[in-house]
Amino acid sequence: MRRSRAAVVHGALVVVSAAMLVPFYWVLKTSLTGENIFQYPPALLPRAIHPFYYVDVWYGIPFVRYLTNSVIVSAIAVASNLVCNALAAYALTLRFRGQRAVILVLLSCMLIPFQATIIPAYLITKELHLLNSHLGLALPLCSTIVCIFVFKASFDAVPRSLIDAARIDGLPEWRIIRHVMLPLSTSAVATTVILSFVWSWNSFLWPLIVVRDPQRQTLPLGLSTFLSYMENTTGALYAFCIMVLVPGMVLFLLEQRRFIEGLTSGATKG
Amino acid sequence: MRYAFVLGITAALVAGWNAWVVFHDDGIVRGRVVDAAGRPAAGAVVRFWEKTLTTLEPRASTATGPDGAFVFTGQAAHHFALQAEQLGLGASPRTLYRRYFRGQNLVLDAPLRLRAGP
Repeated sequence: MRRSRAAVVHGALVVVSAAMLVPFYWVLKTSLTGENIFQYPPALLPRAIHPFYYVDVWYGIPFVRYLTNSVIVSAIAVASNLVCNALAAYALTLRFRGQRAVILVLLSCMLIPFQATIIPAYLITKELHLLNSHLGLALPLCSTIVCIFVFKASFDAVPRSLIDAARIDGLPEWRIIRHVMLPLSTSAVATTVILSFVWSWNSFLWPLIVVRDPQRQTLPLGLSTFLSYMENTTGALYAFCIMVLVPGMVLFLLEQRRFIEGLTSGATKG
Repeated sequence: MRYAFVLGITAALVAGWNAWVVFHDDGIVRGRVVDAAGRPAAGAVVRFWEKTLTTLEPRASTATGPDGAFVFTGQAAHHFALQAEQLGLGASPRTLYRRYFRGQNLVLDAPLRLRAGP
């Protein structure tokens, strides 16, 4: 009875997973065949596979330049997220007057969409003379409230006695974070790395507003430029999509276990 | 450990591929032109076009030798078209070819076959 029930549940999960993966499969298939995506009936299996659309994209657009820009911006975003969010989360684990108010303010800020703050963000970036620069592209992504709370949940699980012992040993607060809290919060670190990388890698609206020089474009911006002036290039367009997706997917596959641990670390007690 | 493994494998593949490209990117395209009966077409003019994402750009032309063979050198286009033509024997269809990288040395599998026009 239990086996048959488990089989039904697993079967349902397999069907749902397959349904979720169909769009990815279709993009990959079209990138390798260039088939008309509107043909009916659609061809489930690919015919005449070739990798030449990837070659077209590699040479047709400055893919290496866009990739370099995206890597630099994402590296800045990930590094600053790790530093800023860990410091903020550690501060929130300490007891101080107004702690609840600060947490409420941060939670309230999560309700404000980035699009509503884009004008002041642009004006600040302009005053800092960071328009059309990698740092200017990464600036709004340097800290995210979600990751602060992921770190906070992980830091709250660290026994107070460890922190007290570190203070007694004379460690300053920043070294307590570096040598005590972070090594015990690898899942939160992995979660922050993955989320900040994915958000910065896929960011489109902010680069669209800040970038003036075509050489400074990131991959999503390059993809939209490619789409805007090309027609009947489904194979090349989908090949570009795959090339943009691959780094994020590889990073997630490398850290998926810690990522899931980080998201669920505060969900259960004990 | 897995980061080192994945990055190491990726770096090795990229280095190996680039090494292969360096030794095979002279931009040579060799082929043959034959007439409708399959005999070599000497003195046929072969034209080379580069295929961009939107159009075909003429790049070079050459003539075949006594055995119908032709060769282009220094042509880097990764997507190109060839067409042969000879007075009295007609022209071949403009055929598109692809390379895995710019300047890849390529020997055509099938000859360009001339056909008398309508």
